[in-house]
Amino acid sequence: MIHNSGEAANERPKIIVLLKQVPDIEEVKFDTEKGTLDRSSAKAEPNPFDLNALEAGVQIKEKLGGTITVVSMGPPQAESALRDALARGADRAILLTDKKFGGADTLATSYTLASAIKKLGNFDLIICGEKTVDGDTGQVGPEVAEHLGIPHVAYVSEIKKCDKEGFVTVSQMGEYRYLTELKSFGLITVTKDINEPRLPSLRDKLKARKSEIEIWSVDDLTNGADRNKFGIMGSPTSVYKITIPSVEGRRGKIFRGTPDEATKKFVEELEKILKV
Amino acid sequence: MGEYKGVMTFAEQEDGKIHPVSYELLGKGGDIADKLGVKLSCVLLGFQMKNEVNELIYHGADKIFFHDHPSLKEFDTIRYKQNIVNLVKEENPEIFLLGATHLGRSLGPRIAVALKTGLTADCIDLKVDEEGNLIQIRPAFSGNILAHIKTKTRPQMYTVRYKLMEKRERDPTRKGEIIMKDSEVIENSGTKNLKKEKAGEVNITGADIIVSGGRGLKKPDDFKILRELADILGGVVGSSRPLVDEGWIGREHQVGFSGNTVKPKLYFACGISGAPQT
Repeated sequence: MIHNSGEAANERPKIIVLLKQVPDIEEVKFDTEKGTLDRSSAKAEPNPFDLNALEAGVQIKEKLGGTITVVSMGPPQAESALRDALARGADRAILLTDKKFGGADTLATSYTLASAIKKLGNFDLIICGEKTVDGDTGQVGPEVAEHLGIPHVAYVSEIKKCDKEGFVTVSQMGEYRYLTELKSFGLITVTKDINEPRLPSLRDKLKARKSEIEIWSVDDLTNGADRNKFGIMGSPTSVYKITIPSVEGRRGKIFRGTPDEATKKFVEELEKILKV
Repeated sequence: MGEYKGVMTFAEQEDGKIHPVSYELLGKGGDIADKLGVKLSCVLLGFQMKNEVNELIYHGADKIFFHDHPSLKEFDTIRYKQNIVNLVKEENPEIFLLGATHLGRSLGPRIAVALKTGLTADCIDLKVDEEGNLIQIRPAFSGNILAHIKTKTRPQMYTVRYKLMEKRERDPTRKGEIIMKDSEVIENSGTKNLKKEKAGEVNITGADIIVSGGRGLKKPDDFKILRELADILGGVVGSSRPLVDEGWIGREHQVGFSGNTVKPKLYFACGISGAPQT
């Protein structure tokens, strides 16, 4: 393992996992009239992909030792997602929360997370989910890597090797599967295929309930970071309108005739659809 | 922002073959360029792909910037990013488009950060408003809402969903300019491709026909029936989450929010209760 600080090899890896709290997407309700979403309609949960990221970190830790620090940006309530992460094997949890972080697009979000990682100092590997289920951009991971000037591998479905020399990952890009060596420190984004996140034990849950979540605000990051790049101020993109896609009403269609005739009509209909 | 002008698209290639999304980008990029009254250019990175370069012109590009170098033959995020960033800083396009493929979604964010500009992911439509700004429409919350987005920085950058935009009719008489660019060579990019192989797996996100099974199936073997239909139709087999969780079928078959977003033309839902998972 080559440390980004240039410290001696053989050191146990320092792993950072990025995690976001999201509304349970299968429960959240949308107001089709107003074009808004009612976040209170659904309970919040850790982004499912980020749990795969955390599990990947825990598995590396089980093999090589080391520590896992989970970093999240969000409202104060996101603390519960971080407690969950502690129960699942993280050693330290930091919540970046401040009104000034609000309204951030992916550029400002990734800048904020990267600023926190810089403040944390040394790390060997940053792991994040390939995307979140609410924003659904998949951009924050690679953007964090660029802010930090480190390499990344996206869509990692397997960590083939992790040892002192670095990591070998399997990632799917289009029709190909790549075997990629991450020669020193870097960032990976992981897919659902990488593992099956374990459920925390009751004992770990109880322990996590008492653990400390560190809260960092804008002032904790400004030593080295530019406060104009946080939140809405630092966001070049903005949503100015939300619409609910019109759902075409389901229309049934009955194909009549003898079995052969009806089947023929049905197949013709399918062919029409496929030609579009 | 007068110094930014023109529309530029990224031409994705794999094994020296242009990815079809690149032609779709030229189609959409061409529409926007026409509306704004500007030129459409295209950046290609690769090695020795002379004939393919012309294809980009036949599909609508006015100008191709070709980085022809062995170090760019295979995709490498850092090498590709650096060369594209150099070019964009020289050419100052007002709009830069990439395909929302795995490659585009890994590369685009790095370019955007290096250029200190905004990037909108996975657009399904792009419109030009009265002031000449681009309005980007993209789904969020797993497709439950459509967000309309504007970018205040330049270039305005977007990844555009594959198989949604129209490409233009191939016109082999079309003329364009090919500009050979000197490439910045980065010896150590931090990653190294050791091997690549055809995945040969179900590509459920790109499938036109999906035959999907849900809790209505009685036993794992029932998927054989669906597979038979999928094979006849040239489609793939999908599954709802419970059956994947039960281990009846691999995760790569899962359709839905936490699995794979699909956009087939034809979807057979067999034994699925009808949650809005597509």
